[in-house]
Amino acid sequence: MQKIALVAHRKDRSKILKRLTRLGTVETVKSDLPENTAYHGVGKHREEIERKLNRLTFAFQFIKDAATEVALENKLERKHAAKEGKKIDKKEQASFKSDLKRENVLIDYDELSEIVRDEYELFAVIEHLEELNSKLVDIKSERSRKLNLSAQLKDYVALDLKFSELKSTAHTLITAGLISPEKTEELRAALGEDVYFEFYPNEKSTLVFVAAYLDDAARVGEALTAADFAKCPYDYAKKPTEMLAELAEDIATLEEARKSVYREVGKAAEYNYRFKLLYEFYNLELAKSDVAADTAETGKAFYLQGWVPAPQAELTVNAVKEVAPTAIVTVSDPEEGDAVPTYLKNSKFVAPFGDGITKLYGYPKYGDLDPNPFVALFYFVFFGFMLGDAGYGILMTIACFLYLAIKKPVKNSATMIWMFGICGISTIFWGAIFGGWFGVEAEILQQSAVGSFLLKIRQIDPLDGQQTLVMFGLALALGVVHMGVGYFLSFLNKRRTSLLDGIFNDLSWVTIFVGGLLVAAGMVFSVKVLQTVGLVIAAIGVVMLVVGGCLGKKNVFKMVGGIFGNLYGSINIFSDILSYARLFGLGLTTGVIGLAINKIGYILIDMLGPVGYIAAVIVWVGGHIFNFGINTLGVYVHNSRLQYVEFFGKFHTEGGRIFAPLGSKTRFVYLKDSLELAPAKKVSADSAK
Amino acid sequence: MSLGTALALIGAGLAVGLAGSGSAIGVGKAGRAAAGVISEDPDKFVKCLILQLLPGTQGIYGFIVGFIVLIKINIFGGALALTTASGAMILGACLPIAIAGLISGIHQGAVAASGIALVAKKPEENVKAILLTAMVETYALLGFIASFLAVFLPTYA
Repeated sequence: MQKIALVAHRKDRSKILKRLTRLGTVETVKSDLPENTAYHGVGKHREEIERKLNRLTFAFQFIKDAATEVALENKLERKHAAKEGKKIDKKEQASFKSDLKRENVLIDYDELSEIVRDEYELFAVIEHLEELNSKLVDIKSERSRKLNLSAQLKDYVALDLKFSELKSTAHTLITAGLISPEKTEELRAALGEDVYFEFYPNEKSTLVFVAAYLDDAARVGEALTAADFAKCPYDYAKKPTEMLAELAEDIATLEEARKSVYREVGKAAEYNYRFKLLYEFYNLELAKSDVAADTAETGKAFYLQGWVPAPQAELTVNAVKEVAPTAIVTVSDPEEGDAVPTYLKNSKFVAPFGDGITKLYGYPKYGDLDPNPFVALFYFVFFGFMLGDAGYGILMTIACFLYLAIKKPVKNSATMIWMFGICGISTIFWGAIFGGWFGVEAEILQQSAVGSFLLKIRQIDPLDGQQTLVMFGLALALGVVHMGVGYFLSFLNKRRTSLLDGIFNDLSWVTIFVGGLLVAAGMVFSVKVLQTVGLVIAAIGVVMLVVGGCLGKKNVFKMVGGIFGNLYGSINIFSDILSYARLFGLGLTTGVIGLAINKIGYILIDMLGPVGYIAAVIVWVGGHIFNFGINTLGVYVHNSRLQYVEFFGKFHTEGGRIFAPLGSKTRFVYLKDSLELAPAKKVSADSAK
Repeated sequence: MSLGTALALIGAGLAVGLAGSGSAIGVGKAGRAAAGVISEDPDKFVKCLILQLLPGTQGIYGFIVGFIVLIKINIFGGALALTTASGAMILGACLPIAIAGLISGIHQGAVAASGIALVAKKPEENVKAILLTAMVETYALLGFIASFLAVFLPTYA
């Protein structure tokens, strides 16, 4: 990683930023503020970009909502038709799709920028969508108004009169309204016999029609008030039933209008991809404008600072010079105290593990060891050990690599698939060692030629008393190797700053582990010499550890304390080693559950006869999918834990900032960059001037 | 059928039953939290589901130990008549996963529920939530290994 700084004319700024976005090799930082300069700051330009992004976001969401709505209606329509015995083909129905997913597209920045030429057309479409949206809002509010009204008019449906006819005449009082059902008896008694009235019970209220002589008006009024009578407020020149029919018709029309608006929105779905490109373009514009805001400037010139990976420095300088020949570009090595971002460059096989495992924990600081190759190796080995079924391994490898071959994911968009594909190979290896083939029992394997070959290559039978313990021991031994490598890496990290500490506190453990492994090997293969040699080596390690405890301590008491501290630490080491028992535990789980699933199938066949075969196949397929799923999840989680807690705990300190060059943060497509094109020559500060 | 065989079956029952109960409580707790998050944002379904599943492993460990006991006493081909001592041994061997499974399942469920709350706020940090949840499982795993070895290694008569 090197520092890059450039001074150029302000008029060249946007050209330079454009070029840097295209290169994707420079992470800019807020520049220093030399004398007589000020930051460019956030301009009006940014607001404008944000407004455009908001409009695009609206369009995505609106089209997506419309698609869901139309799909739902289509489904209802099909259901409806099915009830009437007709069948509507799904393909005959008009439908459209829209999503907010990342496209599997790798595009050059210049190519992406061409989309801006269509901006006018695309925003015209969005304007149309915005109009449709406000239309939709109107339709919705109108519809809910009519629905409310019709719900209220329903209470009067028993009345065979026009609302406008509910009027008192010269001699009679005529009125209608609603009371609560509990009040009916009370009202009936209060009105007496001289009044004509009628009760029509509704669901939640009772409709009352009253006709009386005007002379009785006062008494009737009192009775009605006492019953909390709510007088009919409507004055339509239509009967309730007519009104309801009319409203239903209106609502249906509005419903149709709503549907047609949604279908109209669907026409914009074809623009979805181009909307994405335009969004991406403005997204990058936003990033550039933020970078520009953090550059110092005078009236004529501006000053930009950033980081560039050393191999790409020359290329970057040349590219900047190309667009702005008058620019002055300097490249220099980082100084102490600089917050240098970390950029890890790994091979195709290691990188997926770096992305999938290390990145989640945190990248190392600049200058620290790259843990990725080791993480990749051990994750790979442990994964297979824990899943331990070659059948599952084969399926996993085939599925992952098939996906990669068909989908061809661009850039690093499918690292996890890569990782699992690679881990599948390890699973096949360990599965063969443990004789795990979809959990099929040895007695059944024996019956076929292939099966007996598979049994022959089996090295350890996890379900055979003695060998079970071998598997257990192997798991712990792998753990010791893992931790030993961790301590060795810690030593490498320390060798420049505190060599003695590294030797006596880290290498000592490596020595003890080597000795311990030799003793174990000597016991397993009953070689006496190995045991003696191992013991001696381990003893040397312990002595180193004791010395390590004394390091840097000024008086005897502190030294003794340090020694005890170090020895006490060995308890932790012991529990760390036991933690690797999970390799063994999870390895067993897959096998035994597979066995149980197979057994249940056989029992079904025994019990049910021919029908049992069908049931057995269902149990086998479903059971193995479940077993595979739950164990892969478990293995992924526990394997990660071993890396994070037991391995990283020994040497790796996170806190590195991941190198994020301009143009790397995209949402819908992937941008080509020049990080892979690496001319070997290094650029010195002078040659760049 | 002898008393020994009965004791062994009680052991298998405890392993499957208690560890399964722990998982059921844990998965249930996490499931309630997940349903709340999904009602706000259905797109988080998969992330929540993975977290919900994590406390489910105790039940599996218990089942495995129970299954091994069933194989040991040859239940699939006419049960062996175990001595009382052997039966008691098996019963004792089943206890680590039964107890550790029950309690760790409940607590893992609590952590999973909190993890789901974490995912609701910061979906990109879901892996950290998974790892926190997995820490609890270590003890169920140790219980399982102890039970497995103790049931599996000796020969019972």
